Amino acid sequence: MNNNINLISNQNVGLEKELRRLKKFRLISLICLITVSLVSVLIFVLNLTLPLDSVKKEQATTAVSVVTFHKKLVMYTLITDRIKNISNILSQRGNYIPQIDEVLGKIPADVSVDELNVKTGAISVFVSSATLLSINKFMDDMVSFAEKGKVINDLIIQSFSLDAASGKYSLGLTANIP
Amino acid sequence: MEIESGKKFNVELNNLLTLYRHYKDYLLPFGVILACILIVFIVVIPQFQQYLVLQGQLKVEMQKLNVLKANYNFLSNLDSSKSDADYNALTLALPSGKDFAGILNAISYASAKTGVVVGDFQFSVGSLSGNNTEGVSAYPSIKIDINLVGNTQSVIQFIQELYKTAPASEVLSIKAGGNSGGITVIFYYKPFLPQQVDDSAPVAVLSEKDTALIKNVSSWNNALNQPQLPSISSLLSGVSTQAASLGNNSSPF
Repeated sequence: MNNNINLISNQNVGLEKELRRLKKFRLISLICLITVSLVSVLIFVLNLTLPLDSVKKEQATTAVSVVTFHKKLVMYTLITDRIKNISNILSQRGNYIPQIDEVLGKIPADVSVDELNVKTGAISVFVSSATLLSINKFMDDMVSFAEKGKVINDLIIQSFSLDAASGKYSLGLTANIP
Repeated sequence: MEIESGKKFNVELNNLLTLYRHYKDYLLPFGVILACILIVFIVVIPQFQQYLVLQGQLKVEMQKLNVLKANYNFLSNLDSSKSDADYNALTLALPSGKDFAGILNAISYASAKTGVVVGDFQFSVGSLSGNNTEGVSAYPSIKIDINLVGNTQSVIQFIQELYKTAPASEVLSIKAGGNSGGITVIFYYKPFLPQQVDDSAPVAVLSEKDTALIKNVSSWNNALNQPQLPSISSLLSGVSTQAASLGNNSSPF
């Protein structure tokens, strides 16, 4: 059959397809152009509008204002330095007074302290009394403290004697202060 | 042979021309797309990277600015007279040098308040130019052995009073019995270390614990608020001058 008889030519259909493809290609290129242009301009504008310079200027102005208070700042720095050091000393220094108070607080009225020694975490107490009962009570209290371990620990009886001449009982205790 | 190669060349040229004629309408859009891709790689991406860098810089600079503003606000609201008072109280509690005057005042004040009579006492000053560390390590101190006349309770009260009196001290040993006793006590001091005060560094505001410490130390008895004994004052005039010339670092700045 002769192709020329067809009213619609195959060549025209191909051309139309070609034109449509070209049109699409042009559209894509146009979209690319517009998008890239817009993005470029946008980023350029964003870079321009970043307030870096104004922030730096404000910084310089504020820094000048702060310099006028330099003396105050030095004083404040010295104060913080002293606070840090004093705080360290107070938290680390040995303070055995509460423990000594606890021990002395348990000494009955008729018991006298002959000697009290405290050195590097150790306490030794020498007491005497005419009453054995009071000495016993004091020793019981010390044993109780040592068992609890808060006031003293590692309690040792150093000496226990009776002076026949004076009729006094003497007790010597040593312990560690926790 | 030459005729054949000439023919071949003509044929290829004709093919190229035909292709050109066929696709010439595509050339412009293709060029535009290619240019767009190049612009993205050459301009857009570097600009975007620069934007990110600038953003980072801005963030850093903003932080610096905020620190400066905070410092400005803090320092402008800082009460100078209160700072001076705090500084005085704190330096009396922990002197920058060997404060013989403060030590003798503390002993005499504790003695007067507790009724304990101070007998002989002996300074172990050590090297006047160097630092003697004992007790709380890393802190130089002056060690004193003091003989006390008083009962055990009075000696304990004396120590309690000493702990509430400037300069800061630590009792290393206690010996009491009968009507006499002795203690070994060290008085701390700490020279100011040379340091650079940076106006742009963030100023740490004192915590509640710090303000409580200042309040506590301010309530201590010190050379400014305790009655001085005339004999001690006259005794100190020579010692303090010597101490000032040997051990005192008034300010590191």
